[in-house]
Amino acid sequence: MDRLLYVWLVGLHPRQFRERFGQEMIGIYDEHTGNGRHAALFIDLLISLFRQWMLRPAHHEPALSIALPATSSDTPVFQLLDSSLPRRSALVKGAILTLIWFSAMTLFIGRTGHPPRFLIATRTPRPQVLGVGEPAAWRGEPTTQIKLKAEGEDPLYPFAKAYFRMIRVLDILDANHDWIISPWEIITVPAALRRLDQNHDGKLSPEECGFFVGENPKTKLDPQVVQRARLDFMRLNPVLAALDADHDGEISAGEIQNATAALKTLDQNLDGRLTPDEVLPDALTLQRQ
Amino acid sequence: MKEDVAKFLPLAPATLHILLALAGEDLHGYGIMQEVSRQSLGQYKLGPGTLYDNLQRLLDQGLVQEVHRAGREESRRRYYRVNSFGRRVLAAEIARLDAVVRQGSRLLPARLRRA
Repeated sequence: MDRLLYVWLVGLHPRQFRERFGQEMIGIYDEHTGNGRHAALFIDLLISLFRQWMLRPAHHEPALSIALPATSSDTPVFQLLDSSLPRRSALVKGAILTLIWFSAMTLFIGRTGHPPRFLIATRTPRPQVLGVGEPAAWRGEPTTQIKLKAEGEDPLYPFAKAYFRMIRVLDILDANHDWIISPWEIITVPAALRRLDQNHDGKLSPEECGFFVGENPKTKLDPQVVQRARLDFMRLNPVLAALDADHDGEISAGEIQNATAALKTLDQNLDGRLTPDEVLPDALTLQRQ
Repeated sequence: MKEDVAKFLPLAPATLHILLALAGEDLHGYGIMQEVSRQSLGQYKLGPGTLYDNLQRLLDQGLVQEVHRAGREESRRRYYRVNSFGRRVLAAEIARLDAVVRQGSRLLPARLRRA
């Protein structure tokens, strides 16, 4: 095993050196096998490997020479072409330099605790270097508005979470589950609603919108009570009430088609999206206040 | 030619020991290693990597040359010989070291030199 490793390491030397001395080096290794100097031989070989690749570039592969066909004057033309690939010594040097640079930067950052300051970009030329943590744009020139989800700050959000899960229409409309119906989600309302149509009758019943009265056979509910509850369900939930324009307790095919316009009527602040305070029933909103 | 010799000085320890080993007789690689160890009383040991790295430079610089020997055992190994130019370089290095030793003897007290 040790011998195989030694032979492999010898094979890593530049070809010219390997072909010239490789067999002799292996022969010497074989003669040393019995005297317990294996470690010294391997260390010596690694140093030799480093020296050959880093300090002896003149002994590496010669340039590729190609003989071109003779010209009409029968004068042979020779052309020397360098290999298009980088030399292995250059690759080894590059790798070592990269490692040294990376280690030095890591050490520097670790010791000082501050990353180095590089100039990234600036809209208005300034003489000082721009820090990594500073914005590249000049202060006072915001071009992009970033809105962050305010979960945990608005007390409506815990209600919104439960409410969106309960009202299946809202659950499916809020594709990214941020409890806000965005303009894009409003535009795609008809397609989303059609996915709720489980019996494929072209319209949505209260049950398909999320209405549920339980299935306990021992408690037989009066059908009239159930029907009233179904109507109340569609009437009291603002989103369902807006979608069910004729208030017949179902969202018909035509109402599904006009769902986008219907939902926009809920947008009280006209910001193009529906926030929890615009879709939650009044009771929940009042409870919050 | 004297100027050419000067540009090789001072010799690296490994180079000096290899040339010294070859000054007595032609040797193969393993023989050089053994001779170096013997001459230095076991204080300096060459590994194959160091040996052939230096031999390669000495061959390229024209201080050492390969020689071919007849015989079954000898033909299997390559032998190396220090040529006349190599001997001049070695002699110049010995002279330089001799001057260093003389300077040391003059400047250092005898008891320090014995220590």
